[in-house]
Amino acid sequence: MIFMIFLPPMDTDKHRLPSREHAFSPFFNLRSSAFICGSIFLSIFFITVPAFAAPVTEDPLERQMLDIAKDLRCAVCQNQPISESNADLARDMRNIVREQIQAGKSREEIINYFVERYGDYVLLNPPTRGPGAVVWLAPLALLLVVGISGFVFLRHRLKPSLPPVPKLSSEDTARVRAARKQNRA
Amino acid sequence: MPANILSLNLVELGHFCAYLAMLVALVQGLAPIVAHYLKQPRLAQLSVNGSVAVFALTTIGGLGLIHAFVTSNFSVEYVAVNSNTLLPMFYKVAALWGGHEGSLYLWVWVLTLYTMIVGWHGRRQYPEHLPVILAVQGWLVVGFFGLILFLSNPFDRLFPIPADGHDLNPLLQDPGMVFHPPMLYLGYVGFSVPFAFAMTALITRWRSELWIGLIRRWALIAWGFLTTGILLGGWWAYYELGWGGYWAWDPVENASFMPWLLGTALVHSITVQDRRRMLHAWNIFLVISTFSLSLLGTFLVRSGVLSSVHAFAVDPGRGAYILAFMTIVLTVSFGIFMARARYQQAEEAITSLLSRESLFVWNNVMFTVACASVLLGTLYPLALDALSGQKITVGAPYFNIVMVPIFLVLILLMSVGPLVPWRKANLERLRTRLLWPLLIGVAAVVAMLVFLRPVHWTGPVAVGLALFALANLITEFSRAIRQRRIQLNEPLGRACLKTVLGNRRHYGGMIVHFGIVIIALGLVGSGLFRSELSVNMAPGDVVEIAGERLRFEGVTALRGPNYDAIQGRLVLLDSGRMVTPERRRYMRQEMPMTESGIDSTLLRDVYVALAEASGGDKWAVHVYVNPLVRFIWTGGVIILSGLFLSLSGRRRARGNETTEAAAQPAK
Repeated sequence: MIFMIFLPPMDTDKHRLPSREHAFSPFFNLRSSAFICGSIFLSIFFITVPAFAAPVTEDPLERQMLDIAKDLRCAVCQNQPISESNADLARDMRNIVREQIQAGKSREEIINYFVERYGDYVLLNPPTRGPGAVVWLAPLALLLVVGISGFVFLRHRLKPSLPPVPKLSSEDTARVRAARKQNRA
Repeated sequence: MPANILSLNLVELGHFCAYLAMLVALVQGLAPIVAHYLKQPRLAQLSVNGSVAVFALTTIGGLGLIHAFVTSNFSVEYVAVNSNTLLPMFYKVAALWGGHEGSLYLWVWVLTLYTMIVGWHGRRQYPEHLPVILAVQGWLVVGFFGLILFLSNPFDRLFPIPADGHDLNPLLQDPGMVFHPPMLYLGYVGFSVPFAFAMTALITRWRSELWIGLIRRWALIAWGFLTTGILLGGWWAYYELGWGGYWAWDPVENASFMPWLLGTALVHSITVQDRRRMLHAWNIFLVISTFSLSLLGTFLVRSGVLSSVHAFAVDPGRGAYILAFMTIVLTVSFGIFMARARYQQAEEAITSLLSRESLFVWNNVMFTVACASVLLGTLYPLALDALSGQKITVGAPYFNIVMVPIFLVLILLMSVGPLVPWRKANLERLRTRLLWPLLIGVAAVVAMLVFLRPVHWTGPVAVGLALFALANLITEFSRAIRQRRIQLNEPLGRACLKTVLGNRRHYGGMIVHFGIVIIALGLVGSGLFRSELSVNMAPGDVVEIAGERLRFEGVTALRGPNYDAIQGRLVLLDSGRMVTPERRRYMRQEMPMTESGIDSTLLRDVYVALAEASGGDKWAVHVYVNPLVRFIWTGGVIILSGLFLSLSGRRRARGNETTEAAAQPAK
């Protein structure tokens, strides 16, 4: 409220008392000079303080809604969550989520509401029971199968490097030398 | 002569040339077979000459189509559906690949281009195998032309001729989308070259040392295009789709990601075969699978089966053809593989489980698991729907849970692998080398846990691993330079340059790894530390998010060449810069399109999407602050530069020696 003083007086006066005579009242001049002094004061000491209202904040309902919406599939889109889709259906579904949050429903209840209507199809995370379980178990199974075959392959191919070769005896060295000489000749 | 009639004739000329190209490709495919049975080896040369003719003819066909687009010749149905007179010229040309028919045409066009380049490239290096390679390619060309000309013909006419065309899908009217499909196709089709080589190797019992070095280049080129295509696609999705992300694990994206995963496994395991003469059969298997996944990707995206299994049945002929084509390619290639893969038993043994070749095997294990998981997650819902009518969705949350741990293991392998020598590692030495990077990695994890807001466990682990990898890259490089300076007494700059240029293949690869680390950091930053707000703003309102303040200045109406738009303006109060998200409505389209407004710096993107008017002069606005998104695109550029460096290196000298040595006893 104290920042009222820094607002241009014309506006506030007009707003409060629109009568014409009032514009010439000494009160106006008082406010006016206060405004000028205040502005100078402000510009000297608080030059970096911007003169605007508090920032807009997000409606908590909106965040709650988006948090649920990101796990629900827009039924007419290609694998898009309703939080990201421009489609009309997605907008309607978002509205339903909003209404249900306002009605005090929990996250599970809202998701169940959509599953009842659209089936598991509407869940971006496939369910862990029924046919969806395959998708969850498969990567682990694949990792086991491919990993074990990789390991078996490596073991199968594994041949420890040859033991260090013993040094030739002087006899053998002489023989090698002789053979080489013969070869050259 | 009126321009219209000329244009009409050019389309028919193109159409005719496309048929001719198919016939010549048939000759190209048959030539070596006929030459073999008639014992007339010179006949095989027909497939080499044919490859040039096929490319020339396909090009005439393609230019005929482009001419039809440029002159807005709506007597061609494909043009009428995908273009209109108001479409800017740039997009008129790009509309060639805006729909199903034209995309397939681009595919086959790229295929003939690759075929011709292989024919030219191989005429000196591997002339005796060239006809067979080109014949394999020729059969693929025939297969695609069959689909194009008989079931989805872009040259089909429309009567009566409409006054104006429909429109190019507005999503595609964007520079990012113009280059995304050709890059992707250059990648997909690029894998047909290693495929043709592998088939030829199996058929003619070509010794693996002789063809592996050739395959490596082609695989790297294809991999580079595919990587570029995927990143361009992500970039496009990021600034076009308006939800602040770049990757959604959409089936269409997965379709391009699967060949990338196996292709990455391939470019690594090729090195093992090249250096250590191992994994011949596995490499052939990878080549065949990668190319099959490229085919699958094309068909998944192009057949419409993804949006609904039933879209497939709308045009049963096309669906049956695609299935038959895939089945033939798979059975023939894997059949030949099973029959012939054991033609070379002379593999070397592994000396130790702690060696580079062993780590490469683990790299392949992880990439294969990753690819198989994506394949399953993408196809299983389709199969389930088709077989039992049950519908489930496998979406982004699932893929994040499954894939991120796999990628973390891969980053670990990536950071340790290059330090481990071939054959056998010295454990002591490895331990001392890993000490500092390990400490840096652990310090990063601790710092993240202490200073940053709590996130999912993958965040600190990923950053720790990324910095571990980075530290390994730096210490390994500086060790090489230090050695060089001690040995040759060179100044620092010269030593750096000589080290990198002296072993381009290795350091090219290391630069690619560096790019991957940068991308990983970008993914963590933008994936886990994103801030978002969804607010209603009137002009003059200010919103605060992650230390950024934006003031909404209101909206103005704009008119583009073929759309009306509402443009919002928001000022970033700290820098005074402006972001201008748009909401466009293209003529003849129902859904409004978003163009996000992005203010991008190295460390963060402020990303604004205009949602909808929410009463009065208020607008619903989505504001995101995405840290480190630029790292992803920068990482992509680094990867490409590393790839160029790696490709600029000569083929391994030892490979050439064995070429001659091995060729001698064979004759």
